[in-house]
Amino acid sequence: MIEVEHLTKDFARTRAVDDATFRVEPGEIVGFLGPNGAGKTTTIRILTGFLPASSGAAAVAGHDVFRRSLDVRRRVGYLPENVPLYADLRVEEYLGFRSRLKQIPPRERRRRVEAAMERAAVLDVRRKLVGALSRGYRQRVGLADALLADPPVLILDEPTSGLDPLQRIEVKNLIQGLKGEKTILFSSHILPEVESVCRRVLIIHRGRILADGTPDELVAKLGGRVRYRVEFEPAPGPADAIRAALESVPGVLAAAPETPEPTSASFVLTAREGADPRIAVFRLAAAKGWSLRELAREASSLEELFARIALEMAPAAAADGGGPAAPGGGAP
Amino acid sequence: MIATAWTVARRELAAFFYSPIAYGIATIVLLLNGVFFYIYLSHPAVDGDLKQTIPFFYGGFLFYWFLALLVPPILTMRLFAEEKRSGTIEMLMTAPVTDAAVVLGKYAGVLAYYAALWLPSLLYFLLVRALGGEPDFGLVASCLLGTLLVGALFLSIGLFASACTSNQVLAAAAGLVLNLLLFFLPLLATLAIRPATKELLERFSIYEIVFSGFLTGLVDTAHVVYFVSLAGFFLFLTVRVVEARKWK
Ligand SMILES: Nc1ncnc2c1ncn2[C@@H]1O[C@H](COP(=O)(O)OP(=O)(O)OP(=O)(O)O)[C@@H](O)[C@H]1O
Ligand SMILES: [Mg+2]
Repeated sequence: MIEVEHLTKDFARTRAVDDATFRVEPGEIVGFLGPNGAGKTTTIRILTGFLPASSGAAAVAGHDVFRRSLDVRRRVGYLPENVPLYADLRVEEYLGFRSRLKQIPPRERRRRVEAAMERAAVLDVRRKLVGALSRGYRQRVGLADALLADPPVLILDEPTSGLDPLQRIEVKNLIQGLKGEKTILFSSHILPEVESVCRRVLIIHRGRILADGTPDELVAKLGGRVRYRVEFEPAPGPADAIRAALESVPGVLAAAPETPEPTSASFVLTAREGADPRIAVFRLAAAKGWSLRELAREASSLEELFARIALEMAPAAAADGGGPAAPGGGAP
Repeated sequence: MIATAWTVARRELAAFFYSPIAYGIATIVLLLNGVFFYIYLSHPAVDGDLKQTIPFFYGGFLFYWFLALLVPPILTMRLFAEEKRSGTIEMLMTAPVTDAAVVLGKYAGVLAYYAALWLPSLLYFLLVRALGGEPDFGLVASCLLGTLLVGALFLSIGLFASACTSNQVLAAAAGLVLNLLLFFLPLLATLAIRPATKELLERFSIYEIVFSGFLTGLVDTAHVVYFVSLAGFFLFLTVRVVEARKWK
C-alpha cells in the first residue's frame, strides 16, 4: 500500500531523509519512530504529496506520489503534525468544507461528516469554533478530517502528541479500531504506545531507516536482548547462588542482581532472542520453594533505544544491513 | 476542478465576513464612496450634472484610484501568505485539489468580495432616479465594468504577491508596489518626446484606458481583453509560484 524506495530529501543544508526504503502492506498498522528531527515529518510530507523528494521513488495505493499526486491524495487521509485548521470555522462547518474539497458526493456529505465526528468523538464540540478548541480536540477534529472520505490509507503525524493520557488512550483505541480496515502509518516518539497498537515499527534516525520489524525484533537488534525482571520476597539466599540457578534456565543468557547487596531480592534476566524464559523461571522458583513476587518483561524504552542508536550509529547501521545483531551490550 | 474551485471560493468569500480587516475596508470604501458621491454631485463645477458625476465617481477623480490601487492588495494579502504562515496550506494542498483550482477559487472569492464593495454604488443612482434625476444607466454599467476589470487586474497582482511570501504585510506592500508601477509607468507617457513612444505607452496605460474608454460609456473589446489577459497572466504566475513548492 505504501512503497518507498531509496527516498532522499535534501533541504538547503540538511539531508532530512537519506536513502529510505520501506513498505507498508495493505491492512497493516505501522509505527514510524524517531527522535526529534529524524525525518519523520519530511518523509510523511513526501508521501502525502506536500513536498517533492530529491531522489528516489514513493508510491501510495499504487500511485506514484509525485506523478499521480491527485490519485494519491484522493486515497489518503492525512493528519499533519501541528494540525493546522481554519480557526474561523465551526467544527462541523470545517468538516463540511473539507468534505466538499474532498469531493464527497453531495448526498453523502452529511452522513460522512456525522460519521467522522462520531468516530473521532467531536460531536460535543460540533458548534464550537475550531480556533477555540483545546489541543486535544483540535487533534481529534484533524482525525475526523482524515477519516472523512473513508480513505484506504491513513497517514498520521504524531496523532497522540499534546494529548492527556486519557485522550491518548482514546486515540490509540481509535487507531486500533481501524485495524484491518485501513492501512495506517503513524509517527510517534513513544515506543510503548506504538508497541501497543502495531505489530511493526520503523525506526528512523538522521534520515536513515535504521530498523524495520516487530518491537521485540527491534529491541533485540538495537538494544541487545529482551530483558525480564524477577523479584522474590523475601530474598531466598545468597545472590551468587540464585544468579547461577537463574542462568541455568534455558533461554536465559545472564542474570544480574539489581542491588549490589550479597542477598539481592531482584534480578534482571537477559534472554536469548525469541526466548521467553518466564515459565521456566516460575517452575524453578516453585521447585526451589522461592516465593515469587514479580516476573515481568521489561518495557523496552525508546529513550534507551535512541540513546543507543545515537551512540552506536555506525555499528547499528551495519547490523541493520547484515543479519542478527552483533553480541555486546545487553547485560548490565 | 470547477467544483473544488467553487468550494475554495465560497470559503474565501465567507472568510471575509469573519475578518475584521475586511469589515474595516468595507466600512471605509462604502462610507468614503458615499461621501465622495455626494461631494461630486453637489460640486459647483458639476452642478448636479449626472453625465459628469458618474465618470467622476468611477475613475475620473484621484480618490477613486486611491481605493482601486490600495484596497486589492489588502484584500488579497491574507489569501496565501496567511495559509503559509499558519500551516493550513498543508491541509489544503494535500487534499485532492489542483493548484490551479485553489488559485482560481481564492481569486474568485476575493473578486466577488471586491464586486460586493462596488455594487452598492448602483444604489446611489437608483436613489438619484427616485429623487427625480435621470442617470444614464448604460454609462453606469460601462463605468462599473471598468471598475471591476481594474479590480480584477489588481487583485490578481495581489494574489500573486501573497503567494510569494508568508508575511501578509509584505504581501500587501509588494502588491501595492506592483500596482503602482503598472499604473504610473505608462503615465510617464506625458513626458515622452517621440509621439510613437507616447502613443504606445498610452495604449497600455490603465488610467488612459479607463478614462477615455469605460468612463465615456464605450466598451472596447480590446480594453476588456487587455485587463482580462493581464489578470490571467498574473493568475498563471500565481499557479506557478504555488507549484514551485513541489520542485524545490
Ligand atoms: N522546510 C525545511 N527547510 C529546511 N530544513 C528542514 C525543513 N523541514 C525539515 N527540515 C530539517 O529536516 C530534518 C528532519 O525534520 P523532520 O521535521 O522531518 O523531523 P521529525 O522526525 O518529524 O522530527 P520531530 O519528531 O521533531 O517532529 C530536521 O533537521 C529539520 O531541521
Ligand atoms: Mg515531525
